[in-house]
Amino acid sequence: MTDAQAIAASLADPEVFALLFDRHFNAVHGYAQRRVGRDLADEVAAETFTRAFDQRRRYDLTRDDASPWLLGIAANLLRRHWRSERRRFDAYARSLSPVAGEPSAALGVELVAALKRLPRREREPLLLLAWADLTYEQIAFALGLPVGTVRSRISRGRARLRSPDTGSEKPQEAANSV
Amino acid sequence: MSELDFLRSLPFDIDLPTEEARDRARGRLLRHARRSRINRRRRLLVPAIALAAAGLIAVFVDVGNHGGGSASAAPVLRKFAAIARDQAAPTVVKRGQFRYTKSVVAYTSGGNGWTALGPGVRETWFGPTAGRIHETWGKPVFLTAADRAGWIAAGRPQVNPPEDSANLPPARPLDLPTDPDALYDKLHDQAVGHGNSTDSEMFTLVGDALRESDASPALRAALYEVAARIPGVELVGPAVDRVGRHGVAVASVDSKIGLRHELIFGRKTAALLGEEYVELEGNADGYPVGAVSGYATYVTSAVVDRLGARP
Repeated sequence: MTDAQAIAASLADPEVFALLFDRHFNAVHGYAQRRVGRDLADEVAAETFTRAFDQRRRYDLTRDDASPWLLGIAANLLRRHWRSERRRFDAYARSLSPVAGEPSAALGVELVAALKRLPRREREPLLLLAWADLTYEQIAFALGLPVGTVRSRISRGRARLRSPDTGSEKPQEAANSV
Repeated sequence: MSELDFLRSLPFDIDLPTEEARDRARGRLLRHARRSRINRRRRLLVPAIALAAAGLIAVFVDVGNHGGGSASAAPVLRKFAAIARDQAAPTVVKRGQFRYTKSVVAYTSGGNGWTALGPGVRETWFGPTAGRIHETWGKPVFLTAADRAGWIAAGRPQVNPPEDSANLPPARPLDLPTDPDALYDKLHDQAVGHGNSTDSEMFTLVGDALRESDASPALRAALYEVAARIPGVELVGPAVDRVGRHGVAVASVDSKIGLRHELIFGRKTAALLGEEYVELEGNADGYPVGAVSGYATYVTSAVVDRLGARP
């Protein structure tokens, strides 16, 4: 049974929707945890599924895999938690400090700082790419954007993350995005 | 390292959600899903009146048929517990077999700006390896001209197909203790913080464990004993289900939404015959007091050897 079939069945039998939970809760929780930490992730992930349940009539049943849809709902919920996310990014930066002697650690601290400064419209697709392993096409579906828009926002976001010290983009890096 | 690889390597300490957080979230989703079903049933009344007025289904709304009822249900539930305890275990559903249940139901369904009624016959097959649901739907009826107009505006989507089938995940084992004290504690823990009150939520959980299920006689006895202990569970009195079988109804009242959830048990068999939702004084939607706003009657239960087979 595909996710789409489970969603269709849940219209008549709501409890079938638990199948989506069983399949995707860990992934949604993992994504939320990376962004806002474990405690808030419990809440965000739980609410993602009750929201998804309420929105299931609008689900595009031609899409077998519901994970991009669920992650898009989670991403919307995470907007409320930007302050927590900033604290989380600070914690990442601190965790890099003990090895600050290494050039890569210093680079990491700068990258995290740049991530904090990134506009949400670029940060959101970039993090779905990096932390949820979605394809450009899935990100477009999750965020309700055209694929071309996703592509350009991610490429702008990546460019912004590169500090001046790291030099200009190498061609092979531009190609390995998906 | 590209900035993307670096981002991917960033969170060093991602853990799986705790079992507890996962269970809590799953419970929250299931309760949310069940409430939507109750809400669907609650929306049945208006079309039911329209249909009854049109002479289409006279039995649908039986105002006043259910009596008042505020006596404690504990003695009758304890009698049912004693009956269940002495019963032979139901046929075990082996690997490759399925518990078949047929029920007469009526749900509303709808979209943005419209609601339509589809009375139906529901059949489910649940086994350890797979499950299936098959429903046949009566002709949908629009509640009001506005509902019809909303449906037209939405592009005339199909309301209910004449038949509807879907594969379901395998039955989850009930995993409930048969000791009444332990069962009470377990259901109480699951009910706290959910539903409109812990008491009515516990009653709902008792119903969940009984319908379309393979509960053993010992578990059914324990569930009846638990129901006897839930504060506010009342004896409604003699009742007749939707296919004419006589039984006794006990109920839990959700005073927040003015709704009484009745479980009807066979007088001699102590089996769950059906469920009814009855509107009470002060119900949120202004329905007539005593009106039935939803029901399910369990007609057939058997073990079959093939998914989709009928006894």
